[in-house]
Amino acid sequence: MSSISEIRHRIKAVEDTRKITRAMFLIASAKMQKAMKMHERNLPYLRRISQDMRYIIENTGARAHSPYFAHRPLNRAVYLVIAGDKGMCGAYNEEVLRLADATIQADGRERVSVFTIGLMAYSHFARLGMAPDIHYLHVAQNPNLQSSREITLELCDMYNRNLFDDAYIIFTNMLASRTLRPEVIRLLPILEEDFADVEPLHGRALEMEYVPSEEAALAALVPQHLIGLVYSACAQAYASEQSARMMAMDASTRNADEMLLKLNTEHNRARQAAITQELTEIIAGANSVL
Amino acid sequence: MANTFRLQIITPERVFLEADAEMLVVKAPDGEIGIAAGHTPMIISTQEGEVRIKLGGQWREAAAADGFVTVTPDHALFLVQTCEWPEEIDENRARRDEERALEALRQQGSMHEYIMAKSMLSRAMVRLRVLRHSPGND
Repeated sequence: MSSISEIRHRIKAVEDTRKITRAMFLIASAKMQKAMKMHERNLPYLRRISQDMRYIIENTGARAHSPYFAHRPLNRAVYLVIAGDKGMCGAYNEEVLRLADATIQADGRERVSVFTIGLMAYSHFARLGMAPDIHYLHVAQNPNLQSSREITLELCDMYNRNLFDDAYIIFTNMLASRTLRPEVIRLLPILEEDFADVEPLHGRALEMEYVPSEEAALAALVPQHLIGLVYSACAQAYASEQSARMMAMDASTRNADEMLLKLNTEHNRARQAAITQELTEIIAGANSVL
Repeated sequence: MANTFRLQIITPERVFLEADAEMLVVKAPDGEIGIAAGHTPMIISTQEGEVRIKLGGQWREAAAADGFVTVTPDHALFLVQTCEWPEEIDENRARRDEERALEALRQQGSMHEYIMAKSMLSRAMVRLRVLRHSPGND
């Protein structure tokens, strides 16, 4: 049996750790709520812009002139992988990175470029010997519109300069507060069937006038649509990370409680044993004097 | 009562405005376009600029980034990257953005950087202009 001071020391250590996990749990839950709000506010925008996209695609010939809809031979792919900046969140990072690996392998493109958000994603690919071409700093911790905008416009610019053929975003989608699912979404090129399940904008097809032109309208619409998608993916990934961290920290806190209970019992037993032994010694000593 | 139409202004971050408006003026590449009830169906891509909205006989002005408007006779949907009322604009931030953009333009980077800096500059300038126009801010 370990000595009393040793047990006391362990109890203190577990208590301190519990304090940390408990605090992290509270922080994660606050951050998750913030991220969920971001996502909810983005939903009307995404829905509307998809409807507009579908309308323009179906009712004009602008699509034929837009490079975003062109079908190039798919040889060079870009994967934008979103993971967290740190661990302590259960299997969140591992799951999304495993999906990323599987997707890249399954697609088997001639040239693969990886863009990463989040340090865990960066170090994962660096370890695999495929160092990310672009790493976006500070986005995983602070998803915002400005950075989504920069990322998207950079992607569009590279796409238009014919540096890659298709782009995917790999992130964790939060289906319900406790169900996280890593997902792959194609950003570019845009296909008609992406909008198949979008409800049409207007009941009847109105004759629309375009200012300045159909092509310009579509050219403006596509980046905005993509910005909306990237922003939503960042917000979702952030919410998922916080939710995963919440669950992990909740479990650790509960484990700490359990451990404390056990250690306390052990401590009491050790204390009682020591007292009993002392008493025995005193009684034995007194007996020998008499 | 004046003729109104349903106006929705939506950004990725929030629903900026949902109201019955009498008129909406946005900035298209070739000049400003005013939209009132019964307007011919139209899709307009807009640039960074002031947006003027007539609500209940009163004109209000907001600073918008690039976006586009879908107009039907009784409805206008304005999807835009950012849109802010004058009281929401952070003047210091707008000034800082303006300086950063000017600095980036001086650096003469790639075409991409040039475009980003240009749009950042025009957004900052619109914000500052809207602030100047708003009452109590001369």
